[in-house]
Amino acid sequence: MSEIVVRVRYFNVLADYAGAKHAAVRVPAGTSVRGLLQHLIAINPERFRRALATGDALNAYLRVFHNERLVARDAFDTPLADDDEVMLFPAIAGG
Amino acid sequence: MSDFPYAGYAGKYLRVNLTTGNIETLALPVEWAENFLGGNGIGTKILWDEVPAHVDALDPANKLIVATGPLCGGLMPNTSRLEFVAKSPLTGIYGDANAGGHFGPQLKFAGYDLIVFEGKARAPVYLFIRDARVELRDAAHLWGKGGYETERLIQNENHDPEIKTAVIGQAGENQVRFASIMVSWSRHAARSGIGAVMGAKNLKAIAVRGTRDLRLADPVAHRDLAFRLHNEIRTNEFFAGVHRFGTAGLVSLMHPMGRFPTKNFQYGSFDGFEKISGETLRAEHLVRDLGCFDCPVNCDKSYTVTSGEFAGVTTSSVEYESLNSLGAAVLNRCLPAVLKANELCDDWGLDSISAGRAISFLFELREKGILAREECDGLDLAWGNYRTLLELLRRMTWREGNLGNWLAEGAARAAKLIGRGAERYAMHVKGQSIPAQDGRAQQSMGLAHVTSSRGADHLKAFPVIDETGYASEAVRRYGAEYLPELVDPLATRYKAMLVKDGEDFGAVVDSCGNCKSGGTFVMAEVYWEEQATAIRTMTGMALDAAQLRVIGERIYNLQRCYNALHGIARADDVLPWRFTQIPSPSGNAQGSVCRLDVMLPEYYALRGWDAELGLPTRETLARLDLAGTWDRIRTARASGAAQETHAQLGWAEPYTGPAVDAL
Repeated sequence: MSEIVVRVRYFNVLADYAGAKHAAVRVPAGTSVRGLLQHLIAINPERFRRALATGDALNAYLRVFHNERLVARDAFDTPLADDDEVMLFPAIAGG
Repeated sequence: MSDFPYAGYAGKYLRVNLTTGNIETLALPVEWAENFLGGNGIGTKILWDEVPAHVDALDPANKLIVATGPLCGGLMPNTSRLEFVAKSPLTGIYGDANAGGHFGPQLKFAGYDLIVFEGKARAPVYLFIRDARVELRDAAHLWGKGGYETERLIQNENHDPEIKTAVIGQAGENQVRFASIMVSWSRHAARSGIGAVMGAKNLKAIAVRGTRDLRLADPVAHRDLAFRLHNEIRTNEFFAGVHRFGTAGLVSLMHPMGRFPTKNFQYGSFDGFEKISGETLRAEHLVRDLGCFDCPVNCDKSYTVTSGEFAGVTTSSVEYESLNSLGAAVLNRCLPAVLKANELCDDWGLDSISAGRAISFLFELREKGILAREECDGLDLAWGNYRTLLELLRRMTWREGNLGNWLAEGAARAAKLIGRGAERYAMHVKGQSIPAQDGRAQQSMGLAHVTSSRGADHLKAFPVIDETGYASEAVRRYGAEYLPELVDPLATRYKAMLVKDGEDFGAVVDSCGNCKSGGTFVMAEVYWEEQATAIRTMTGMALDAAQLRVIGERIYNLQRCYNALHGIARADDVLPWRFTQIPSPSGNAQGSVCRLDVMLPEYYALRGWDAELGLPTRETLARLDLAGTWDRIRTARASGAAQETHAQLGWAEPYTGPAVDAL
């Protein structure tokens, strides 16, 4: 399989910035979480990019869930598989 | 003008004896301000000094303290907060509730830092304040009315739409033990059941309009600090999400965290979360954003329902907590029904957390067969039945029937009344229901619930740093050496430190009148140094961050001491079995239990509390200039008075025995 399809779900202001709540994103097989995020930055509008990254660095408070597990910052190189689900949240806190 | 030595304070307070009708305007004792700041701190001091442990919370001898703090009404961001302190009818121990809006600043502008209510009026009254004019007025025509109508009537009869009010609805009148207080219509002081204290005193409302100036010690320095912080909050990474969705935006995030309590805490994720999420709420029901006094965030919103069964509903303050307690907690996927339930809670004056939790407790009793069909007063107590949810809100408010009376007592007291093992399904700490913050998915939050001075609560310690990982703020506040564990929600290491610091800082914030959701804990631009500078420039009080930390510790220890007079000790610092024995079934928390056994001893050590008793030592209290309190606690425990009071608190102790089922 040369390509996989990842189910991406945008939440909070990211959905507003992306103009969608979810997307089926086609990326090369072997793409990592980081690679997916870079791909999403490339295909989405500028303010979406600003919410995800400053320059080349991913923003500290971006929260990524891979198949409902929070992805630690040092695990962003984890490869994705076909039909995986990735949930993306901007900085949110409170209660 | 007041001759109080510090600016920022009005320098006077009101003491209102409802039994005699006597109203005194008194000079604010300087030592109260210097040792306890205001709000939460002075309220605690008055409770400690003036309300003995044997007094029942609904007795006229209980006192209600309504207090602003030194920053309230000033230029700092979100300086609207108002503190209500009294012995709690729900827990029987120390109680408080806090609300934003516009009432607090108006009270300060009228010339008063706080009000102490004593006794009980013979007939319903409300207190009217317009600067120096302070009078008790007949409230017979307001009794029986909801919060919205009460505020409108008070404004109309005084021909002044700018009057701000703090009012109870019918739940407070009927002394529902988790009755709330509506503050300037869109904010609510909801926890601890302080609204029932007002009801027991026949005090329907407080109305205030203030037109006086507030003096600042160093206006230029205070303005510069405040403007810088306003700007920093507006450019904070968290601002966009919090401003746009408020706390409701957390619903979606907490689902995959496994931290969104569902079906009375049987699950940590809700498959219907998108139907009740902040995103759906804004897209389908938003009317407009609302803001408290001097707030750059405007996290509150008003919402409406325009079609269907609940067309016409208009409500505000639809918080993360309410979406959980009136939604996922009872498996209610119908957002318009959640909004209707929220509207009723606000108008009738119910804490939506305790109300929803009590109903989910009842649903589980039915599910488990502890309640028979014939005991259900003709209602179908089935998960997800939102019509039953709405009807039970009505019955608890008017204490109607068996179910209404049980529910009006709150889940923990109802469990004791019902018996038959019902206590296994009452998810509470010290009588107060656990909010939508599952300690299995965030270890610090589990600890925070048991160390909270007002029973289960997330807002005393408010440990947001490890909620999802707030690394740069963790480094700024504590240092890089505490990473990565400090920001890992499932790690226990350093969480005792996080909770203790949050409690101490939170006590100071609640004593000053600024807000925890915008600037101090969330979008955390204000920490000890900034808070000390703000107090110094506002009041002229020579306080630095180190001294402020001692004040925070003093306030929190005095709350624990007050609870100790009621027999509260280590044995009460427990979570129900579900949190410590049943691994979280879903999301990021899957497989996790709350490790109080690891965190609590560390917490006691950091606090300087006795490891066996869980109470402050004589040395700790002496260090905090609270030496006399130790003798009073020792006497109460040695005489058996504390244990006797504890036996009368009225709630079933949380069940901590062997697990009763797998969820």
